[in-house]
Amino acid sequence: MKISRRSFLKLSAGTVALGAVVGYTGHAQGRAILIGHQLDQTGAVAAFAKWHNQAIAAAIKRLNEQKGIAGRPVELVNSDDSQTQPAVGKDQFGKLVNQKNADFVIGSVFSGTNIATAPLAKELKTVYFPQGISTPITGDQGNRYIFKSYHSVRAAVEASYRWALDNLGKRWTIVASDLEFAQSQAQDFSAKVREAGGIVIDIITVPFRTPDFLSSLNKINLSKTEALYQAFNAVDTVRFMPAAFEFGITRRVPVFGLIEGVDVLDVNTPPYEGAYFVTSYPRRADQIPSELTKLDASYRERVGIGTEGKSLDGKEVVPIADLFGSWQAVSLIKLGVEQSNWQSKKDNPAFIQALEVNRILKAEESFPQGEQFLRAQDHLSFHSHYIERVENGKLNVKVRLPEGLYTPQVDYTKEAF
Amino acid sequence: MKDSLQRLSFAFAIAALTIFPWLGNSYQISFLTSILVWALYALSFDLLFGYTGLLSLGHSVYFGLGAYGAALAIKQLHLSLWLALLVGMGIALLAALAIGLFVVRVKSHGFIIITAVTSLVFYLLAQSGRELTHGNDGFSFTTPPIVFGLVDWSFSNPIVRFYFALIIVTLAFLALWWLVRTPLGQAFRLIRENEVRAEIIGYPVTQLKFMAFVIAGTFAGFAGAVYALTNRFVSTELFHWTISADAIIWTLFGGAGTLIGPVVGTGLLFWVKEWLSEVWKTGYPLLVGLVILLLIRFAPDGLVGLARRLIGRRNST
Amino acid sequence: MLRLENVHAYYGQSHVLQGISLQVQPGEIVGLLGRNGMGKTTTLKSVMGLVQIRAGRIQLNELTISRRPAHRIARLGIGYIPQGQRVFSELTVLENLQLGLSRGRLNGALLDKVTRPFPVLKERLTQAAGTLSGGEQQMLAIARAMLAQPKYLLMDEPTEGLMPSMVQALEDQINVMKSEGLGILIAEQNADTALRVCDRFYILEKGSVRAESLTHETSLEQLQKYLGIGL
Ligand SMILES: Nc1ncnc2c1ncn2[C@@H]1O[C@H](COP(=O)(O)OP(=O)(O)O)[C@@H](O)[C@H]1O
Ligand SMILES: [Mg+2]
Repeated sequence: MKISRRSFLKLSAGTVALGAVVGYTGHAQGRAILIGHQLDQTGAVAAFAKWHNQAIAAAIKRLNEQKGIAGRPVELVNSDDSQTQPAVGKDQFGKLVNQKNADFVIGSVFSGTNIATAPLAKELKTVYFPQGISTPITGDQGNRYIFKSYHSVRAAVEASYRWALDNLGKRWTIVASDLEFAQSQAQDFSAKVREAGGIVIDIITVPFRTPDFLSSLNKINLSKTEALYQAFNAVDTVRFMPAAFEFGITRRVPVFGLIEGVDVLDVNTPPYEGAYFVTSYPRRADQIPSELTKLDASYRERVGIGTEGKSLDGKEVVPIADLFGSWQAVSLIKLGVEQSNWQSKKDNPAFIQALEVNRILKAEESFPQGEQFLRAQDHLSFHSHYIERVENGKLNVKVRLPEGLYTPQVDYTKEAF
Repeated sequence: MKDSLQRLSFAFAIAALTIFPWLGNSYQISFLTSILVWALYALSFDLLFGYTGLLSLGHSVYFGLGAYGAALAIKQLHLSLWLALLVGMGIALLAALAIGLFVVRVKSHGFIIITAVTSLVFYLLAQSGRELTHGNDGFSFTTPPIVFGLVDWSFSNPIVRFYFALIIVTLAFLALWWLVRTPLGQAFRLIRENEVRAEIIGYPVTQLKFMAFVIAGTFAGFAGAVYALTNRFVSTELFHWTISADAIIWTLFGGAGTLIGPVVGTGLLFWVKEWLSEVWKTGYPLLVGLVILLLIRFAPDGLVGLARRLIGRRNST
Repeated sequence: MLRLENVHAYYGQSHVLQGISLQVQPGEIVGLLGRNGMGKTTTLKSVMGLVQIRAGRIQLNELTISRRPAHRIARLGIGYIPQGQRVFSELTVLENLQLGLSRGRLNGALLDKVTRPFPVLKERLTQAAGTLSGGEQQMLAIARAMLAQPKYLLMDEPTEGLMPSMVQALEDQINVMKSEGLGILIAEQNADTALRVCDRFYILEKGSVRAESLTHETSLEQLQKYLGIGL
């Protein structure tokens, strides 16, 4: 306990010192607004989380270069390692809020962690911006303290299923990891296929981090299947796709899925050739719609992403689309604070009410992904989608699709604070 | 004389814990709550390992069952807090009865291996029963409040959770304190020292081991249920073999075969981990590995044993 | 009467006891002699139920005790003092003694009685038994066994590693127990002791009884020849 107390003191001292410096330079004044990041330094989403952290830092830096938020400086507070473990992430959320005094928290990319944390966010009356995309996060597993500025699985499916059925096939086999994020896809996609008169041949569930995919691949009935939907976390995708390739599956049927399971992987290898992905932003700069190219250039520069969607040293693939969720969460915080005249966490109800109105967010530096619609009922924002295909090792946009609006499952605005 | 000193320190520790909510922030209170819960789990393990000499690598099974039992009792059956506690403990008890019947007959290395296998099997079972367990993703639930008369204490309040854990863990501690002083507890220790010798002076060793196994499993299940109620979230990670390993590490560190050892070990190692997580992330496993090696070499009876010897030496000079 | 009838025992494949028959009467001291590895310890363990016999029978009076668990056999009145470390070293002397009583507390009179032959134990009551000398531990084991009031006592090489003065005290105590009606079976390699305290003895060789004889019919030289000592 002594140490936690000491670090608490250190933190406060740091805040005061920083406040003094910032105050002196005259950019922004008042107590800093602390934005916490529920950061998975290890585990399945660590490669994503690292870039989210970088995107948050870049977004905060940009704000502080201007006038901060409502004249107050903004600071990033990282959690200890959340380990891509729901139980750990949840505890780390508690520590961010109660020990590190975070005012707002941007969440893990891991849907399981988001769902475990959501009730605690409400309990601690702290606004939480989860970065996982599993549909229930902004459905029955979420609550009024949850906001998401990046799509859910259901929005991506809603936006793309029609195109997939028309262009890839009517008879689908779905192969999905048993992770929340993948199960959510299997559920939403199969429902849509059936609704549109297509046929779901089979849904094959594969244990997370399975040592081999052989038995699952064997279950795919290739004579009946016209198209394959795959849903895995990147640590599994990186093994699933080569296995499917070796089985000859990727050449016999089109493979379709969300970019989120591939987004830190280099697709310039034979197993990915020809595969289709639903994305919410093109990976490569030359594929960006013309009205967004200017914003795109400055977004890439600030976060440190090259024109091919890699890190500046070319060594890592950056989950460029995913990061908008974190970048735009910072923008939502700014919007909410300014519109509600938020001073401290006791103003959170006002903050929430200020954000939960149906609102079009224009494409600008704060929302560089493009124009989007923030819906009041489920606190979720809707934006464009793209179908990208791997051609000669590069992701090319085949078509741009609308935002995939669906009936809200909940109405948080009626929920008590 | 020695006993009264023990009682005094016990009373002092309880008093210090009782006033803690006035000193710490919410996070620190929650942190201490989890130390209390895990310390109870370590205590239950020590009854088996430290007192009876049975090194189980499958203790997480009972913790996990207790936690899930309580969680599902609330989520699916909408039972009250106290019933959930009983359900968690009851399920762990049943599992310990069934598994104990087989494993206590297996001697030395065989016992270690077969208990490790049980932990593996239960982890895989829990993983594959996703509909019920929700796998690694786990599930959250709302612990029903403590209600009697005019009181209505909600578990969303960290102070309520803390006192709930403090009272329950204290009672369980006292129960174990009493147990190890009964003839049964004495018999456990004879088995630890030499099971053949215990057998030839008339102790039914296999039956006694079975009892130790079942009691330890039930207490672990109890700890698991308290964990679930205070944490309000469970996932299959609770069944993982590393949770069994934690019990061994905390107990060895603090001092096996004592009641204070596992508590001190759990508390200190939680604290070290917490502290290191901010300074040196990868440090914890390294440091703990090193400390355990040193302890086994120089103080196999853990910190408590080390302290006793240091005090003893000072008194004798 | 404690009786073994054609007892066979194995360790895995190796046939260690190959048809042992012997008996011990109340108030009789019987030696089980033989060189190292001949099966003395295994015979005692078979009686105690610590080694499962494959054929034959072990009887305590009318009761067949073979194939019962060791703790039952102990409770039926057979005491066993194994070779080597014989006490619970982490417990105090007093706690070790207390273990001998299946119920009740050790009172002063009883304590006096069992420690009379070994006064040194009484001075060490609160000391951990592991800190006693080998001889003292042997005394403690005997005192503990006596408190349990067995009908028969099995002792495995009781004089091994003892100082001569201790050997004397031990032999005296064995005679006292005999006079109280206890039947004692002693596994020994030490021909001197065997000749001094035993009424009869069996000589084991490779797991079977090679010879049986009364003490007064046997000379030390003969016995030492059997035991392979002094050749
Ligand atoms: N646990 C055991 N496993 C296998 N063989 C054993 C074991 N104990 C003793 N033996 C063997 O059984 C034989 C008899 O041993 P034992 O009864 O100890 O003889 P003694 O007591 O006469 O020295 C020896 O050959 C010994 O090597
Ligand atoms: Mg021997």
